[in-house]
Amino acid sequence: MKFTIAQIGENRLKKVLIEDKQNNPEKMCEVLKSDIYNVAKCYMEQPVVTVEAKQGENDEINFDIVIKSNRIKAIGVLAQ
Amino acid sequence: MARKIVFTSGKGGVGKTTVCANLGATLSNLGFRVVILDVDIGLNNLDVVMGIENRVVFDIIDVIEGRCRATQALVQDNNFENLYVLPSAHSYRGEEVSARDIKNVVDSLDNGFDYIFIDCPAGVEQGFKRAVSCASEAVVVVTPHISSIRDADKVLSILSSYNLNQKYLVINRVRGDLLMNGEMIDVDEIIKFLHTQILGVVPEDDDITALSSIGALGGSVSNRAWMLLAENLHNGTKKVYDCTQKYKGFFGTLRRNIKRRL
Repeated sequence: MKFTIAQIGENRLKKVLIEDKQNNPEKMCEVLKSDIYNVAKCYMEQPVVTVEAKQGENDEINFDIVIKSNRIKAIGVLAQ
Repeated sequence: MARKIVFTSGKGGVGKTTVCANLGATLSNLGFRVVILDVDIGLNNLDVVMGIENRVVFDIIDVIEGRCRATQALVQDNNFENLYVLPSAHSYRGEEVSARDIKNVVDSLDNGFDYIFIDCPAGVEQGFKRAVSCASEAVVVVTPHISSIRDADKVLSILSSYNLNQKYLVINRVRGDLLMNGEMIDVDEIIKFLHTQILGVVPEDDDITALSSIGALGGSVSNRAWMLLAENLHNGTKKVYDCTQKYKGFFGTLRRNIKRRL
């Protein structure tokens, strides 16, 4: 099967983007932090989220997630 | 209250300043008051792109350091009466400016304009953070090249950690003939890879290069694309320019073949 130049480029791009994400846990932390923040702010006032990636055994990556807040919102009251 | 939109890309040379200036010009033509802030401190280019470099009296550093008000530093465009530029300084150490400084400047312009565009420097360092932190929306400019798309993907990941209401994608310098020949990464594929709402597609336009030399905006091929982009930004029309249109059909194929031979 013959690929066009565009298809070769698309395949290379796909590979590069996947590898970038696999090899870059710091950036993944930033994305996770943002998503977790959006969930956390529904339940608490001004949450501070920290996400840390640590290399575990057998090549796995462990994400340590800490959410701190001074005040929990009343149950049933969700953010707009 | 103005919409505060940062134009970023990660990679340099993809046309952030060009997109920012032309979109601003098109919106101002539609009657909106637009101000463009050049926050690339030390490497300012917006003034020369827009042909106002000889009319700059104050710059953003003068505003930050209190030598003038933000409105006094604005330069009105030569051709678009609703378009203003707040120029950057050409010799200043950028690290001395904080995100809070830029935010104060942006906030001081909030009431007088419909749109505040922030032209972000290339890279994801301090200058990027300063520019993004005072915006509520972001436009990521990308070209159909692997290096640009890769950097845009990284920038989009970083933007996720900022409190932005919306992120858009503008695909710049698209060549319809190469798309039709299967020699350029397809626009739909780029959108799929980057998972971001498309704001517009801008064709490669030799006029942009030529006009930038004389400090003018616009371009015969890209004019329609700028208009669609502006309408999409303002009204959410979701219409984007089809760069392949003029290369379809009998005459389109002819045009493609001639272009290839040239």
